[in-house]
Amino acid sequence: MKPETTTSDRPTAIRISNLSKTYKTGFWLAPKVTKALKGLQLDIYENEAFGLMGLNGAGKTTVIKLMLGLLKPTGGSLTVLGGSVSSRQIRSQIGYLSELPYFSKQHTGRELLEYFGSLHGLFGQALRHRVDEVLELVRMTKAAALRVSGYSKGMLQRIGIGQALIGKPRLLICDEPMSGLDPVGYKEMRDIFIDLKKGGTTLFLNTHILDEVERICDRVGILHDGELKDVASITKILGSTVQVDYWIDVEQGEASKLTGLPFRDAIANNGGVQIPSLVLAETLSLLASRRAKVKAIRPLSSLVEAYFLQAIGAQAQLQRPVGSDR
Amino acid sequence: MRRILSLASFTFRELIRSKMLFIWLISVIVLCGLAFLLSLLSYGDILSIFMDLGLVGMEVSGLMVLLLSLAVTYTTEMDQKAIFLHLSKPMTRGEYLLGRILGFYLVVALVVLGMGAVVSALVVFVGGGQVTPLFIDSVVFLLLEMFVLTVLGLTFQMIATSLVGVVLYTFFTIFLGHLIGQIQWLLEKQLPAGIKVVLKVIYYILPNLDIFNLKDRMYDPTLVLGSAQWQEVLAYAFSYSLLVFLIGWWNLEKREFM
Amino acid sequence: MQKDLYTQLVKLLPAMAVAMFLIQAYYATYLQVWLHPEPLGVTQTYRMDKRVSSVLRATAYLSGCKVLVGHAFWIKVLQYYGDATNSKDRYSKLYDYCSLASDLNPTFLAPYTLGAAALTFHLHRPDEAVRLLTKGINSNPRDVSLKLLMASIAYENSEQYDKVVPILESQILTGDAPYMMVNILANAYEKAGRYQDAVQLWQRILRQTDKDDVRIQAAHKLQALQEFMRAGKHPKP
Repeated sequence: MKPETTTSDRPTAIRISNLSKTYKTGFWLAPKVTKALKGLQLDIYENEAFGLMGLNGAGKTTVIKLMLGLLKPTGGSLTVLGGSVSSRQIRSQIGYLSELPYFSKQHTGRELLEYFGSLHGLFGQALRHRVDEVLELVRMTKAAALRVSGYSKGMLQRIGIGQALIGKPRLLICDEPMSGLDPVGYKEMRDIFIDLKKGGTTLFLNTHILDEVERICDRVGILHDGELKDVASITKILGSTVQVDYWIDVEQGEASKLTGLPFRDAIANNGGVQIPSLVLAETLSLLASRRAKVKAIRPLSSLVEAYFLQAIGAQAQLQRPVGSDR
Repeated sequence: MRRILSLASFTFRELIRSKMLFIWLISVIVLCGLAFLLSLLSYGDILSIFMDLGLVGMEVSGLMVLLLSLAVTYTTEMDQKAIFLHLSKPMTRGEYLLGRILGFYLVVALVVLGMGAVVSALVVFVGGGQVTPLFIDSVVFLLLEMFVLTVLGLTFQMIATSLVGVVLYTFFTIFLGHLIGQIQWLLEKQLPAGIKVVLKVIYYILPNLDIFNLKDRMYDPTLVLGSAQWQEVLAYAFSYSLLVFLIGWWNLEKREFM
Repeated sequence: MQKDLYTQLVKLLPAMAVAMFLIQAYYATYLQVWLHPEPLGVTQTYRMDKRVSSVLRATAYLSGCKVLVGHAFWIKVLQYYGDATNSKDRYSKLYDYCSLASDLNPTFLAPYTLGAAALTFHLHRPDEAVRLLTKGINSNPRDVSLKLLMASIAYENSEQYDKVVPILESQILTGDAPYMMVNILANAYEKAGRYQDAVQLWQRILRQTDKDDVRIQAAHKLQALQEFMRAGKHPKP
């Protein structure tokens, strides 16, 4: 696969050109060098939602830290919203949500938002009004007067997104935003992102929750071992011929009809069979000819997941149907 | 400036709610207990004992608040990476360091002045004496010392890679800072040239906390404390703090947050 | 523009730090003179355990609480003097202990006054008392009580009039001296054989006092002195 990186004429929110980052750790006598990013080339367009996927340690958080100026690149260049991130004016247009955001536990949610709002130059009535707005948006109005020490993980994540949104950012950068959320919190957060996208905010999400990517993002990039393996639009992935395995369940007592299917990759087990998508149609006709009553047909992985695994060169050995983990 | 004040007030609130004022309360109880005990055990000028004890109590409680605040905030800011959220906002790193310093100093100064009020009450109502102008001068000198140490502590917090490092650096600076005067005394002795050079370097790098230690010279008849001395002491406190602040700021600008 | 200014400022930070280092080094050097105009005094101990002295000094200087350590050590001195078992060697370390307490806290008067009184009137070692009081008077030149005590000890016990007279004279010259001190000086003159000085001082007392009993005492003294000077005998003080 060849990354589709800078092929569009759309205005860019983030332009990454040949970006590399090397960490030097260890003592003087035994220095250790880790190449976290290797010549990253990527454009994020304005008003799009971009998902950066990768395994743990792939370099996703390094990319975000470089975008925020928390790290300095070893090579290459990076432009955010048309300027350098070291500029206060550029940073005032960026919202950032870290993975599992930590705050001082001694403040209330409202105080935190007021403080972060004041850093964006908001004061007095304007600040109070904006804080109320954001609290409403992240559904934290009722808990705003409680101290952060009493917040659940989901509430922390919501206040986290609140502080990221307080300055009405043009670009929202989130590092694993769904991490640790329960299904309700996950859905609420997803809805917030979809609303923001509709409102014209550019979203950059680091994630390894593939469902999140599929539902929110316009494009995804796959980062593996510090290298960008591929960039593709979600519509392209969903329309692709990526191989996905399916699971076919038959009615109770008809398991015997699944044995002896003439396909090498078919695995019958517990009253069902796992087959590759290429032979799905043939399998269904064969089962129909055997008069087996099919109860359910489920993909064992999403297309995005399959695309991801294919991009990083991993073998798709998925044992559970999609959605069973949520 | 507003951002600096916002961060200062944010930090102040954080530390006050972290129950730092308990240290003040405990110090007051210990001070009253010790003053009572010393007045029973000792033979001598009870008023000077109250004032000497009170000034030491102020210094100790201020230092305890400073060290504990550094420890508490290091965990949140550096270990748990809350600093990322501050630095990703439209605030420069210099503003961040200055805001933190101000917030810390407000708490330390509050504790020192609170202790000062208790000591004054002891002197006036229990000892039946008067708070002398030199006692007030000593408190102001103590506040200057606390300012220098606050700037140092927060700079260490920005430079150190672990909580233990922050506390140890600050702790040893406090001790060695009080020995600086003795280094000068050693330099006048017959010593190998190499040792003298090392001592000289230490002498100029570490803060000379003896300069702010007016409490040990409060009754010194040879003490001259006119406006010239005040200007010199203020100039030293300001220039040393600014030096440390510039180093901390420079380090923070260069620092990468992995 | 703002970004450029800030970036420029950051680039200048090392240079600014060097400048500030030099400025603070200048003030540190200047203030060192203000801190210690004279070399540090160290107690000349001869009976004291050196470890006690070293540990105390280290604690005092490291913590920056010299005075408080001095107060705490003073309580230890009181306990030493209050412990009857130490009477076996006649409280041999009392002078050293008082001297060390005064090293740490030179303006605290109790180690001088109590120490000197105990050394003189109880232990009959007035030389040590005079040494302690001399140290106290050097550290507290404006204090009258130490001089008075010094005078009375020297006068009554050690006959070190040469040491007492200049101290009393300088204090009386300040105009802040109790009658007792002037009285001791007049008697000290007499003991030292300076009869003319004694006569002048009694005459001055006679002129300046507004108390009858003092006038009577001064008149008696003058009469006795003049009779003695005529007869060439030593009067009874």
